[in-house]
Amino acid sequence: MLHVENLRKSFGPVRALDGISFSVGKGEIVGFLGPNGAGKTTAMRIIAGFLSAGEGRVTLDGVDVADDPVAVKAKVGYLPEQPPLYPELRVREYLTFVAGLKGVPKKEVTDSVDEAMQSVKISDRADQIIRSLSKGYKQRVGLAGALVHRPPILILDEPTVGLDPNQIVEIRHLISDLKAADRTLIISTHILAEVEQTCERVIIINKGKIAAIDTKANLLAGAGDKAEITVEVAREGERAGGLLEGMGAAILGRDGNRLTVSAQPGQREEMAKRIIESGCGLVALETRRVALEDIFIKLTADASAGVN
Amino acid sequence: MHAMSAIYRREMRSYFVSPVAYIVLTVFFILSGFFFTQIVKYTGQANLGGLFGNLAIVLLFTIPFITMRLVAEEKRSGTIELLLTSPVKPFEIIMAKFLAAWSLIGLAIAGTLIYTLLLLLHSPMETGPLLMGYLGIILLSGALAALGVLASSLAESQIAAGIIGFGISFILMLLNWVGQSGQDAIHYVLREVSVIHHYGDFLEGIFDAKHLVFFLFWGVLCLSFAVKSLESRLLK
Repeated sequence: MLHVENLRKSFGPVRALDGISFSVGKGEIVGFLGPNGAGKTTAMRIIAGFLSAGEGRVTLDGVDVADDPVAVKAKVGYLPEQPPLYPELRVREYLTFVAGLKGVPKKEVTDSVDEAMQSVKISDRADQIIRSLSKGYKQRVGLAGALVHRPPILILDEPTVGLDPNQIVEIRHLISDLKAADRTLIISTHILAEVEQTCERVIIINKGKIAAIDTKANLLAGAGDKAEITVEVAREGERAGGLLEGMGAAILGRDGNRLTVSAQPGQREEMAKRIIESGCGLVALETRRVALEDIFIKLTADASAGVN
Repeated sequence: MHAMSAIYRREMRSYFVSPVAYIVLTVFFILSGFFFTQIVKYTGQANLGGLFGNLAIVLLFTIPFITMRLVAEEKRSGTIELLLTSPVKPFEIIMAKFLAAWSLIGLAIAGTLIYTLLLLLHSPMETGPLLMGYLGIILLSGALAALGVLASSLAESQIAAGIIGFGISFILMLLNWVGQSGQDAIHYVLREVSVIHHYGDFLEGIFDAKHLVFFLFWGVLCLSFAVKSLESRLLK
């Protein structure tokens, strides 16, 4: 459905995107993850047709955004980081305006607006002036604007930035509801939890380059050959440490009888058996779950300043 | 067309939900009423030529105020991202905004029909010069509105857009004054590039196609540059 090939973009001497390529299929939910300044917004803006690519191309259903921007834009729903709202308008007026702008046929405007308001649960605020809405509701109005022309692909750039924890949860629920609608979704974010909870595939971008691109499950599995295991014994912590080292585990730290080691998760049963047999007294054995966060930190560890 | 009409309607609504339209219309009606009574009182003639001459100066001050927000505010608030990621061509965005500004000015000019009606009720009037006067002021306001839209698309803030729009309009008026002070080639060129100079014949009730062509050329030139300026944002 969407193909991005060797995208490059510079702003003066700063290279924001340095040859990124990826594809997104119909109905997929992809997380575009990267630290601030990695080039996420630049990539989103090029896909949405707001910026031109310096090099490379973006095609949607075979149509190049540079050749026919109007046709591509008609198929894309884009919510920028700051929702583009006219504060003096009422919610319904704004969405009617956006529907007209996006080319929704006149006869269908009322239905499209009602449907968009329902899908982000703002029907009760239809007649409220946008200026008077809370930040969370403004974000919903922006989301409704991106949905009003029923686009097959939806691009959300940092959809929860600046919201309070309750509003974040609400927006994530709304995004989860959008999943069911068989729509391709690209969510750009620097918040890992967002990707962990809503996306199937992850593109990790750092300094304008793709650092990793895989399904969430594969990324987690790939990083899982060594896990951080905490072993607590009743006595003789030092001797227990020696035993674990003898099995090939690396001691990461020791606090009295509490040891943190790096080892393969498959060794845990053997570790427990040897400690019990040694008489040191196994009190606890915990494996810290390898999260996407670890992979993200590992891949973007040396992230420094860039262009957002 | 559908998108253009959506942008046009939103612009008109924005004028009337903010104080802009009310301030502009009030100032325009007060000043045009003042000029009308003074001219009729002192000349004793049923001729609106003098009124249209003075209204040109009023337009010079009010049009930048009407147009300054049009594109600059979209850039400041970020709504330009909505417009430029919609299936709309930059040409349609600029045209819709220009037509909205021109309509508001047209509404103000339409208010002067009351004076025409008052004069017609009390004395006979030549319709030719009257129609030329209206045609001239509509063309002049269109040219100044196009200039204002260009200023707004070049500037990053509406204040800067207002200053640029007013500054260029004022310079164009000065060029006419300077141009009238001599008869050599330089003075001729200065007169010819000034929009005010081309407005003069309309006030005399004279129709000359070259003035019409000038206003059309001026409008197309300003709006084309405004479209280019918007397109260049996409290429940044």
